[in-house]
Amino acid sequence: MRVSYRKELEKAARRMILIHRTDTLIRLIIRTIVRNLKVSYAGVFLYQQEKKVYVLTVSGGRIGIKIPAGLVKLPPSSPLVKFFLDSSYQLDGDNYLIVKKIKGWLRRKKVKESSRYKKFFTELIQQLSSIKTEVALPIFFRDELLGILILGEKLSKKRFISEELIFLSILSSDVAMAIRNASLFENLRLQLEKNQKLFLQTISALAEAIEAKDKYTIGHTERVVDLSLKIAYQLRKMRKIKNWDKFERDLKVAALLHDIGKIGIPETVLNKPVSLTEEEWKFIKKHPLIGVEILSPIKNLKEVISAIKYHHERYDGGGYPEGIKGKKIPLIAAIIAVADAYDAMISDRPYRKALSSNQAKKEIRRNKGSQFHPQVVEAFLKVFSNGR
Amino acid sequence: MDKILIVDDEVEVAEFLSNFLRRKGMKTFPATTVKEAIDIFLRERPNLVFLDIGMQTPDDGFIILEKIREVASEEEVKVVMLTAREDKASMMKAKKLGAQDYLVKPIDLMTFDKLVLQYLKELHS
Repeated sequence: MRVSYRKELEKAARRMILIHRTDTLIRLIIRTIVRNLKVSYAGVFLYQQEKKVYVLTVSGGRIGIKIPAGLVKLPPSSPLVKFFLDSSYQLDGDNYLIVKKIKGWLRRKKVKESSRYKKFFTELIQQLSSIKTEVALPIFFRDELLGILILGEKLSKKRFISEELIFLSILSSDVAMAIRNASLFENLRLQLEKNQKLFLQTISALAEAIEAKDKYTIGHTERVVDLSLKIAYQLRKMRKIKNWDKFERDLKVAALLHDIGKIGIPETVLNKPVSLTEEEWKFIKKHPLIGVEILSPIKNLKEVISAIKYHHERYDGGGYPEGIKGKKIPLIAAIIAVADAYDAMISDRPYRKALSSNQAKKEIRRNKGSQFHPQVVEAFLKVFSNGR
Repeated sequence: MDKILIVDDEVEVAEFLSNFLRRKGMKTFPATTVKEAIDIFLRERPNLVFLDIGMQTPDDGFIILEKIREVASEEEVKVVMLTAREDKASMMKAKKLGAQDYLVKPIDLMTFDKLVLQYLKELHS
């Protein structure tokens, strides 16, 4: 029964769309070729950047005949590679190579009269015969030779017909796309990782800048981040937190930046040794909103921004800037509120001395439900009872 | 007459290289375990042996090498390591135990057969 290559191609194409990993895709293509063309073997040489050679990476077909994957390499100087890179060798203008044709080429006047061609084609036919390759196709992306597809003879020993060669050309370009996409995905992933690092670096730098302004709170930000995360871990044991990875990330960033708004506050006010006046107090209360303003142009920080905005709100609605209450206060803000308050209490301030850890804990417990979110306070107390 | 023993725990590799060299007119034997390799060696007495290193255990290749050198000198039998390992320690150990060359996978198949002929030539001279 005649195989409908068009149908096979469509079937294969449908499956390929579902596959993301390049090697899985190429293995599928090789299996498709071996099964449909009934060849003794098929394999793909892929270019390795680090070693600058082509390595047979995927291989299918009969054991003993097929070249084991990873065993064999082709340096760029080898005739098979040169054939595809230099079109002057492609005497019939085809982009595929049928080994049987080379014998005919060697008989052509043009070749017989050129020692360069003679030598080249003799080597080429030797090379391909030694691995029993009947057909070779290049895998190009634009003008980059990403690899070479090789096929052994058909089990029927019959020659390859043009429909089959076209089928193979199409599969080669699919392989090229797969490789190209894989390297794009890889680049994208690396960029994303790089940018995340950059992002966190910038944030840390900002946090340091804040601390530099407010000399009584060196280390405060770090301690708030640390304590906030510990509270969050305890809270997670007590209740469900949706989308934990994002929550943890947002909490970390929000804690790092919770005082960013203080950049807008005059140092004289921040470091005043006595109580603040009404005017000065108004300034201090502005800092969460300044924080929001500073961060608003940055994408993907919605939850972070709202946490920073509301970290001075009170559970009973008596906080600032908006006086929202209870569950309306984002959980991250509620956590930072406790961590921030605790650390402030156990630190020396220009206007008062530090409290002891026990005194600070008592204060927090005392304000459970009024200033602070009750569950968060419970989680906070668990952090200390666990000896963490 | 020349006999070549090819030892690799991957049967694909042992069979393929065996067939490859057989097509060039050489008498070859594949082996995939230490026992098989040593049995075939003692029975057929090949004069050229290719050894993988990591097989069923990480040092099997060296075990086979030592066994071969117990019974045959470097003039009688040429042993060449054929392995994916490219660390200096393995190379030095191979040399110390009596291997005469060290090939790292992947190999250039086109020059491999020329290399084999070279090894055989050296044995005969």
